[in-house]
Amino acid sequence: MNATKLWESLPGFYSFTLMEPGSALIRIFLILLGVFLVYMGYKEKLEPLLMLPIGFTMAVVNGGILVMAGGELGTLFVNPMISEPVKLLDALQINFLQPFYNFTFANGLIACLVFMGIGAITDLDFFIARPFLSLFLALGAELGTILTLPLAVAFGFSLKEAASIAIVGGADGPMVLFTSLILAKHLFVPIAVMAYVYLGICYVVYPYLIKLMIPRKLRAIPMDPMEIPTIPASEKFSFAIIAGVVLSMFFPVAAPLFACFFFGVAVKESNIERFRDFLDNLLSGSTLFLGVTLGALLSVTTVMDPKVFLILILGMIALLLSGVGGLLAGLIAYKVSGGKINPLIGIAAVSCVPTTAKVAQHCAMEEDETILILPHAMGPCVAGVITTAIICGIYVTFVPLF
Amino acid sequence: MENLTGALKLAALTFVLGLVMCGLVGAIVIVISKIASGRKGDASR
Repeated sequence: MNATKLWESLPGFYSFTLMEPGSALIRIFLILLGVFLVYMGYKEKLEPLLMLPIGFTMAVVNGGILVMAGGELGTLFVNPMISEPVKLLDALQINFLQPFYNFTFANGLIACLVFMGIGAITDLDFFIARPFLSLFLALGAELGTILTLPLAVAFGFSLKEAASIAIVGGADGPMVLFTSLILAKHLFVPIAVMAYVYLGICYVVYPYLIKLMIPRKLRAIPMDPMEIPTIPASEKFSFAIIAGVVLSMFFPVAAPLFACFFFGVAVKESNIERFRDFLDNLLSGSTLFLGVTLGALLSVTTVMDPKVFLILILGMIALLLSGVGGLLAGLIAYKVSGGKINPLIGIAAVSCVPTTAKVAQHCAMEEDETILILPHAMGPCVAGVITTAIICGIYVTFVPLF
Repeated sequence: MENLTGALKLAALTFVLGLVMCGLVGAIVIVISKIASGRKGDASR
């Protein structure tokens, strides 16, 4: 065997020589970024449930690029770009994540499954105890979701693409998946990956935003957790059923999302142990495969879209604006309540259950270790999920009409 | 330009509809709570 043959028999390395220098550098960067995300997840600096599967698969998928049968570069993980039926049939038999991508991602099933699981772990007590305060804060925290829409259009995106990017401001992965699959399928991969990576980063970025906007004195305002009354399960169950039906009637296009979320809540509030246990496992399994598939989609051969850089910037703007909106609403609530409400609970309204509520609690504890605002923060956090689902419904219903 | 105007109109519509829908969800919660507390009152009587 001569040296050339030997070199070609190491396709993971040989494929570097077949790439443009820029692509080869990005590939190395993605491998290193993947390892870095795994490390940050392992150290629990970023959300480990997402960073471990996304980072690991991202690193190995970029390491495992090889020359495919047709001569082009690819991987044996997944190819989201295939649309021809014959090529798709081939890919389904060759790429190990292709069936998972086509049968759960491309039709929005994974978004619905994750959302059903989130519903099953969502406690409505705090939301039902103070519905209008929670919804007011949550609507403020949709600032990024609403303002990023015209901003993205000004950057040259179509209305459908802009809406898919703007929904990142709602900080709810399932909604981002659902909206981009319906409105901008061609940008689904970069938008979904960026959204999930950013959701992991929220935990790091939002504390700086809080320190910038909320004075120290206000961060230390105590809120008595005993003020929150216990809500009977029957009340929460009734709310889940009625809200699910009413919202589905208003936005039939987003009805699968509403149905899954409120069904999850109904299961939690019912006494059917088997369903509750199953949904708990379903959420773990769906999150794992979601992370693994998203990481596999981050191959250099699929992310080399010139729009990716702009999507990255707009996604971060959307999340930052939502954080600003939530905190501003928190400051208004603080003023209106005569100083009884800690404005930090505004950041929890950005949603991303329960990460943002934990951020609010963590920042309050930095000022006073005895403070417990987490129960109060969970109300706006849950309301944030509902408002983002509503805005998702508005976008998928009205954007095609404009 | 036309696209941007459409986007601004859609953003405004989203805010207004969002506000209305949040009001509706809040109202559902209040109505359910009222009915539940009414039942509790009946039971205690």
